[in-house]
Amino acid sequence: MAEARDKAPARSTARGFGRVLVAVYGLFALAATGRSAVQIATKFHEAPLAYLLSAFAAVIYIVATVSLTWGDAAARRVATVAISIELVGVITVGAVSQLVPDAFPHATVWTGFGSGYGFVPLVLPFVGLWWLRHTR
Amino acid sequence: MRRPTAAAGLPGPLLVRRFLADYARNPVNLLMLVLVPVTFVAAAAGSIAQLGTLLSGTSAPGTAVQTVTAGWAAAFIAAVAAYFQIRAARAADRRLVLAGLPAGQLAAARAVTGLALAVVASAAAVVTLAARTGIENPVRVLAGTFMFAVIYLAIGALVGTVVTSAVNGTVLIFFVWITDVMFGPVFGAPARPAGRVFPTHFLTMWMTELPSHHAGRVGDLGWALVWTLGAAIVAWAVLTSASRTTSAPRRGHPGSARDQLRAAIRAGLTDWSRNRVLWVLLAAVPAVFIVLATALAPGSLVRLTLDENGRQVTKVVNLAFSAGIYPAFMAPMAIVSLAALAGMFIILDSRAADQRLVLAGQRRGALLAGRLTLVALAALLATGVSLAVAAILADIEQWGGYIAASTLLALTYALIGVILAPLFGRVAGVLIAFLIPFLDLGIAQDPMLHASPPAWAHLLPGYGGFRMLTTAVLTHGPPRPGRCWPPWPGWPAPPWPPPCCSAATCRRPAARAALGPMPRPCSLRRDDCHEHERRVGPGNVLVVSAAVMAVENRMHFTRRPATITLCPAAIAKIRARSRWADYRTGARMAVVTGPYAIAIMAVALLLAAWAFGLVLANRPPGTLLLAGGAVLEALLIGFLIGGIAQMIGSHREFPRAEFVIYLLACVAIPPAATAWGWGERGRAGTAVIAAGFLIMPVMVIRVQQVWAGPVG
Repeated sequence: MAEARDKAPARSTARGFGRVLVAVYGLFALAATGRSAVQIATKFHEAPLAYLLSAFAAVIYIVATVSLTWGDAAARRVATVAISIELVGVITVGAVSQLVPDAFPHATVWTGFGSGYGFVPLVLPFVGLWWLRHTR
Repeated sequence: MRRPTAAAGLPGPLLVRRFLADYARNPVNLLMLVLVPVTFVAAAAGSIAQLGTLLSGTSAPGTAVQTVTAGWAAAFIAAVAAYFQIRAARAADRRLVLAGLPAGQLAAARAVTGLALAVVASAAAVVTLAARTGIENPVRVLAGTFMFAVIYLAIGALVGTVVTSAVNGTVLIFFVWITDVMFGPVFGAPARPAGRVFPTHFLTMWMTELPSHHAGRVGDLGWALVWTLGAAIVAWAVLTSASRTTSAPRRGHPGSARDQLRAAIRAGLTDWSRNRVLWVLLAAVPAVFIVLATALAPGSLVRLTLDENGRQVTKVVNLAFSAGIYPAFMAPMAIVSLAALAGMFIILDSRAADQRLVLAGQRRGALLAGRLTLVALAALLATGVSLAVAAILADIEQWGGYIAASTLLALTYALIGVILAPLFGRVAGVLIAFLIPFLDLGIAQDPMLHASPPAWAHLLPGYGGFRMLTTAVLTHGPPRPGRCWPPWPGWPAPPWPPPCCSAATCRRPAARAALGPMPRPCSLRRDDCHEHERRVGPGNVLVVSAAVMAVENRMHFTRRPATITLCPAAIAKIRARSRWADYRTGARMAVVTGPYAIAIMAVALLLAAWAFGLVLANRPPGTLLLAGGAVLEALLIGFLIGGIAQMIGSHREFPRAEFVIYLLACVAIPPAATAWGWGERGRAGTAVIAAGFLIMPVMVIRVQQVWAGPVG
């Protein structure tokens, strides 16, 4: 337990609650990657924008997962940027998909503020940013 | 300054006169009391009536809307007057009560004062209205305005006892008032269900002479009276309790059984009020179940055998989340889990203290009765919270039956929690308190899995309650009498329209007229399917549900789009047009939807509960948990192989790549979560492992959804 309380700067974002956070980010990286891979491989021509957005979300989740796992100063900056993009993305895509439903006929992870995933994609960036601040 | 010595002899009317004089001492008060309603009605009523007509898009008669403005003005004045009466005089009132004035007498005097002020405000508003547009139905306007004032008097009194700061208090009152007005039936569409809970919804409907059609047997006027009476009672209780300085003198003999019982209950309630986690749990557990329901709602049709008014009927039920049936079945899950936990922890937490109490001379009977009362209260509280959630989301046929069934289930499981507590202790008890409701309501009684529960499920504690609940959700009650007025021959005609009439003529007459004559049963055109499919949108909403809903919309005009009764010919047609066979319950899909998948989910949930138990107990995961995880992994590898074999053997069209990817993810998640969680020997690491197990049922259901149909 002594190591767990040790607030060494390196890898601290992956300790304690961070371990759960990284696991959730990993799950979303997996989900978004799988989803966008299938979409792009099988029916890219149907909605290129939505599927590229899916792929972009997947990349963001992967970057966030990896940088949170690393947790040194550079990785922390990368994580902050990635999670901020995620926050903007989920709010923008969520709002646009609510206001102009025709713009997103095909769902992405972020459509409807992540309602297809129990709104976890909406909550996750807030928790991530809070955690980065908390462990600084 | 009133002298306390004089208070004991102050009769009620004198108090009222004094209070009124106190109010009139500031001339501005008096001016506002008259000026505000007058200007409001005179200046604003016309434009408000126009705005309301514009916003709601309906042609609500303008003069009727204007009568409501009198009510609004009186309501606001009454609320603010009541607020300041309570706030300004609180200290003086307490001194009066201390000096020996009965709290009830003081409350009555305050209430009468408030009513007198409300009458003045109402009179000013009504007179202005009469001068401005004339009043067609003076009795209705007068009574309605007065009821507005009484309801808001209670709201003002309530705010006055809770909010100390005058600014916050008036802002809060204004907020309540403006919400009530803006989202009320005049501005919003009267049909919006959320608006029905506002205090003056039915009163407005009655006053504007627009029958709401959703007041049920009680009628708009009945609901308005209920609100008014309830408000009067609340105001009374608030005024009495606010002026009480100490608790009431103890009645009965100290140490008697009754006294001990009361002391036990009071101590328990105090204990609850200190426990913040309890309040969080009460709010969080229903919310979690709703999120789960959104994620897990199968979006498919199931066929259920039900007992409707004594005859067996088969109904096809749409369990898609939006149809409102699924949340109705999820709410009892929240109720029973909360009730079982509450029962268990109340007994566990008080166990040591209870033993000491018995040693100290507390009667066993009184102690037991007190604890069981607390358990029952907790169960009822959980029921109330979950019912509130269900009221927002669910679509239920018979509310009376639903509430009764929920209460029955809650009490049953609260008592089960009581039994579990001494048998299993804390950690294992929590596990079992979650597991038994899941096995009982989630699997054995679940309408998704069986058309009617299997024989062994009859032995489980939730059987009776859940059957009752299913019946209440899905079947209409006994047929209503065609006429309920007169209640018996010779009864005089009422001055208002009778509150209920025959269902056939009264229920949504406009919609029925728009539909025209009923089409021939069992007719289903292809166009209907397409149109409906487009309306429900792409995604996981299945073709079948669209087709069936189209049939239902065409041929069975009911209030409930979610439950329908189909004739065999229609089912055959739907089957021919869609892949109905794949959604049928009991269809042979061995690996993906059969018992094998349920076994995976059960094992995963068991392991998740175990791991969360370890997290709660702050213990590291041991090899036994790893062995359990290995069993799950073996099952999942079988799932992968069987699923792929089944996919190759099937000729249906479904997203095959996605199916395989989901199967692979199923296999990958538990080892990945375990490896990552094992890296930190602490609570967080164990939580990761637990979450890895917990996500598996969701993954399995996603696999089933992909297998079932096209994905957007």
